[in-house]
Amino acid sequence: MRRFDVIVVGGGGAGVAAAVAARRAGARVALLSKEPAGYGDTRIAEGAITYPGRSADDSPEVFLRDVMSAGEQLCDLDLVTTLARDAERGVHDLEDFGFLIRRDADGFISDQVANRSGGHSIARTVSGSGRGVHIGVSLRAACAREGVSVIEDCMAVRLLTADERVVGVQTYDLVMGEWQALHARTVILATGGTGWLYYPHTDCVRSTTGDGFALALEAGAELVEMEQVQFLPFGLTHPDSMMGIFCAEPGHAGPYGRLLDGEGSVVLEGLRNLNRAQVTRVMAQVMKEGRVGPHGGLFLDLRPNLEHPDGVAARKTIVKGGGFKGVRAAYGQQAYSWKEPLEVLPTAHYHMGGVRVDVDGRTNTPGLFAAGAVQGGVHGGNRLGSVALTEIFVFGRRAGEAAAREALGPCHGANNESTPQSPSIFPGRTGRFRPIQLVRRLQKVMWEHAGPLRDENGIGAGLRELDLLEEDYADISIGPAKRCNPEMRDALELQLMLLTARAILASALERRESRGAHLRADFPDRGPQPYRTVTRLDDQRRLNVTQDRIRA
Amino acid sequence: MKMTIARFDPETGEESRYETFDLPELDRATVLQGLMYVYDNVDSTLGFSFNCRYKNCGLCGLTIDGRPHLACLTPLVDGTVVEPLHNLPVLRDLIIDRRDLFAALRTLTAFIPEPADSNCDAVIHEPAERAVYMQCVECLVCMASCPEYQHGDSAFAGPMVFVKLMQLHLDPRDAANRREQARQLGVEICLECAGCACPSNIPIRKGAIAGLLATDNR
Repeated sequence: MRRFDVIVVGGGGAGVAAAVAARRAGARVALLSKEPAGYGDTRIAEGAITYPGRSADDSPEVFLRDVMSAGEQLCDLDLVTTLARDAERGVHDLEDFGFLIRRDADGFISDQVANRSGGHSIARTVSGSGRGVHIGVSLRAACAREGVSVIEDCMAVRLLTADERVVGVQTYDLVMGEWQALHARTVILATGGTGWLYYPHTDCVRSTTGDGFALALEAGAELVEMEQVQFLPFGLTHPDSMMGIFCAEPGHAGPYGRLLDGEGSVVLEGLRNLNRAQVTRVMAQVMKEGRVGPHGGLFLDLRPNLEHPDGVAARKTIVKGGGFKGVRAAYGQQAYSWKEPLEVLPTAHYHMGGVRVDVDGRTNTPGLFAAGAVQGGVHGGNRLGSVALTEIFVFGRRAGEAAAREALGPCHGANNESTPQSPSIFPGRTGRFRPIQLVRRLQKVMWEHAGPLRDENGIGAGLRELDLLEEDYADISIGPAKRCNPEMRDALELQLMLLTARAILASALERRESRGAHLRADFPDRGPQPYRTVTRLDDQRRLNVTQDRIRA
Repeated sequence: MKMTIARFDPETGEESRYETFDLPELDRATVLQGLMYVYDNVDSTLGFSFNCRYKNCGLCGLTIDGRPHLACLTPLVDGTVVEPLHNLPVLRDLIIDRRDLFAALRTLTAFIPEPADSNCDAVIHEPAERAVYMQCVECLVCMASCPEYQHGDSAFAGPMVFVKLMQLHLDPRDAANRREQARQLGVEICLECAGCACPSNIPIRKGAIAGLLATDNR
């Protein structure tokens, strides 16, 4: 049995920011990661981060207003206030880890190097060479420099609790095939989002199986707004190997970019000034009416830009920044040159909802913290471009500091540490279903019934499909290999995916209105009073979703 | 079409065997897609690594028809043979052991020193040439294509390490003498060789290694 002060679950940006902060506060810190550390969604991000203050008319207050207005009344004001206030320090932390933000000729991060990401009222987004991979490298470097105990190829399967307090993590070593109980005074979840629940309709990495949402529920923590899944409007549609991969942002459409339906009629103009939710909303409606292209998508038509000097200039800037590279590989040179329309489909990108936390990442379960994409409340119904990295560094650090303070503070009693349950999932298990078959079925259910456009019948069908999947899960087979058994990983992830998927569907059922990224065909309008959807497990381990009024 | 995959079981320790699978014709299929097809439809005991599906994460490096490359960027053709990356320890089938790499970051001090009082207003001039080295996704293709590198050889660190040292050498905030460090790690062995390949088109020999071997003041 190994002991730490703080255990961080997840090796992406939020996890590393939390681990480094806890380490600097004097704690013994372990960081668990299913992949090598630094290999989460952060690594494949555009590498753009945003913070107020590049221009004179920007300030934390203006930044706060942008985030709040995009969130359609679902943002938590305390969290957003903290985000706006700490944003600059978060960017400083990123550079301190090793990333280098591109500067102007005089060596300053000035308004000259700032871009305006989608939905922001002001140019305040900065980037650096190497984009996300440079951040991934910096995250690994920071762990090494600060002496974080990094445990790679390791999955958190369950949180250990004693007297309703989290006291550690039951882990499974994916390489050696061994179970272990790691004990700590506090645990931070930083497991990222739910993109992989929608594969192939996602641009997220394979590890984003939403583990943390399920781990939190099982430990008694509450989740908010689990129905708020952000779909980027423009994902690629073909070839199959590139389905769901990032194609473009609305902001990449240039001044004259427009959206056509499958028959070539214009359905939306002025794309550049719309946020992700606004564009996806229109696309979902047209797709529902069946006016789609050969691969089920709509057409992003950028050709009109080529008839105007400012359109041509916009393309040059975007392409120079590395945009549309995936388009060239998937659709060829003509499409890359904007000379033919690009077939696009919404693709799961980010989870706005998540674990309910205070400004220090504290959940309602003692000893448990959460930060990054797994936390809820910051973005409400819609996340603006480039704010995810800001969120990671702001709330990762805060959770790390608070978790370390609590771990190093007075003892909380909990001496009766729970013993790990004996696992029902093990190599050599016999049954009728291979885990990957069930994983693919779950992903299909989520895209069809918890995708960009939902309705009561579909959600109900999705929940019944999950019931069947759970029955079938009791009858899975796993190959006999102990070391590096991929079916063990599938099976353990699937167990958590089933609960996380249920939380998304159950919240989607409860929100009988269209708000933010949650679109209901049967309730197309926004309701009069904003409320939170709060998800928890009751004493009988049933999911329970309630509405919490939001104070105006 | 057919795809042949090297299988290795650490629990028997026997030599790799080769297994051939029949795949349907797929539109512009990639090697990664072929592996996922086999995994989903035929044999889900097959071990291979990937994460992002398209060129950003660096986890799907493989030996494909004898040459190392990223599986997500390599077209699948009839008769393709895939093996794990050479020169590196194999955990199972196509999975190589990456766990030493994190520990190596500490040994190499592959990080900038903690700045005493830096902030976003710090004036920094990043050399323009650094950008090309920041494209490294750490896929280990260069290590697998290197005629000299062997995992565990302490006299020669291998090309990826030299790319990392070049990244740091060109970072104005870094304080260590990365050229001296590179010499101690055997960079001079690369003088007569340009055998390393890079899917991100980083000029490893002519850029990174030449820069570390140079004696100018840059």
